[in-house]
Amino acid sequence: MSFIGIKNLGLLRAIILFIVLVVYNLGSVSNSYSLERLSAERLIKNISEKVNGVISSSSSQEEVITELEEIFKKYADTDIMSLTSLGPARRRASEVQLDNFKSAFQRYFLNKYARRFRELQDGEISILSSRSVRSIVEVKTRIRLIDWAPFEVVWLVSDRSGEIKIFNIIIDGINLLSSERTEIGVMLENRNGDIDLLSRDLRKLYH
Amino acid sequence: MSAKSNLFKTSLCLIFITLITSCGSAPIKESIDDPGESFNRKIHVVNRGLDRIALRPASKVYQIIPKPIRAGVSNFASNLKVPGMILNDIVQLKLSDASSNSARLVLNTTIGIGGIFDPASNLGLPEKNSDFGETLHVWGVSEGPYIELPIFGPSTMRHTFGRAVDLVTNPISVFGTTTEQQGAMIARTLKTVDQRGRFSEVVDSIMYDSEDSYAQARLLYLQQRREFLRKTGEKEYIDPYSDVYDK
Repeated sequence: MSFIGIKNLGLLRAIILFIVLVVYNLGSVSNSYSLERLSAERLIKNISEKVNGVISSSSSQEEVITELEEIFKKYADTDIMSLTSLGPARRRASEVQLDNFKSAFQRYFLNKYARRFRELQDGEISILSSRSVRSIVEVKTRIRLIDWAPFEVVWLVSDRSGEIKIFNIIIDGINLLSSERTEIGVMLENRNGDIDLLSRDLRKLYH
Repeated sequence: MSAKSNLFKTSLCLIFITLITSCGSAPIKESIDDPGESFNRKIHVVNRGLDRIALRPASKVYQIIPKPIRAGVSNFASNLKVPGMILNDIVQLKLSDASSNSARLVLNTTIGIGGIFDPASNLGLPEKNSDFGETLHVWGVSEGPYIELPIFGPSTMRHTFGRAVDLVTNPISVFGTTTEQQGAMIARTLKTVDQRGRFSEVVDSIMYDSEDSYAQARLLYLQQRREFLRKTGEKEYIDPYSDVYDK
């Protein structure tokens, strides 16, 4: 009697455990996308708070750029951004050339766009929606500035670098990475494909 | 008799529009089609020169005028375009946009004193932009090649044709006196000057900092225009990770 009871209890336990496991796994499978979307949204919130903090402070332009650089390094996948901008030329570049280009591009990109970020002062950002497209999460936001019509900014986020990071920003339809790919492509062509010369000249721009 | 024939004409029109719109919008291209590039680049050089000697300096001077006045002129110019937008909304069968733009036109023309003020936006009726280029897109006409127009700048074949139609069908062009037409043109020009001033850093960086301002202007125009035509349609993104890491 008790033997059967224990046996039944064991079976019952096994069944319960099985159901719990199945439910848990189903839950985690169906939640995996929304979890990723949530962390992507949280990332954008974090970034906008940090950027707002920096640009509304009364620091000098130089200090602002240095602080923005920190935020950029932390939250953006600068590697993929620079490699994508360089285009197919990256395949024939050496490791040293690539590292040099990456750091030059990072500087250039920041100097170029940091002043634009200053225009966002007193801006209000609200998250409209987010959506997973394969390994990419798209977070749509709306930015409101005083005296300006509100505009849409789309942030593309991925965790393929090992961390959840932004790799592209699309402002009112304008895709930053596409623009940079075009610009860097032209610059490279103008320098007869010399990546080292390109890196050197990138460091001189937008000071 | 005439009421009857009017009704007949209206229903014929509606049937025509329904037929046309049921064909479906033209697909949105991703690539750049620019067969006239070498000629377009010549126009671009001219446009850049015009910007440098006229528009850019004019926009700097215009910024001296107090902001409320500049905003009033720009609002007035925008309001003049609304009747044309309503027409385009109707032929695209975007009836909610048509009614929202109509409410906007009435409010801004009356309470907003001829469109100088923009009370409609504050009441949650922002401008629902539309133009005949968009109408052609909705009707299934494809984008056509890229063109850089003198003075007006980046465009496509379809957008250029649309602009011409919008200009000709604008109620001011049809019913306005010469003075009214001139007034409208001045307001439009001043709005352009004002916008050049407002976006000065962005425009300067495209026109003068880039090593290929033609390619940048073309890319930015096509991206923005296509985004406008895509509306809420979900966009497919290029995944740079698979391009860089999976090869």
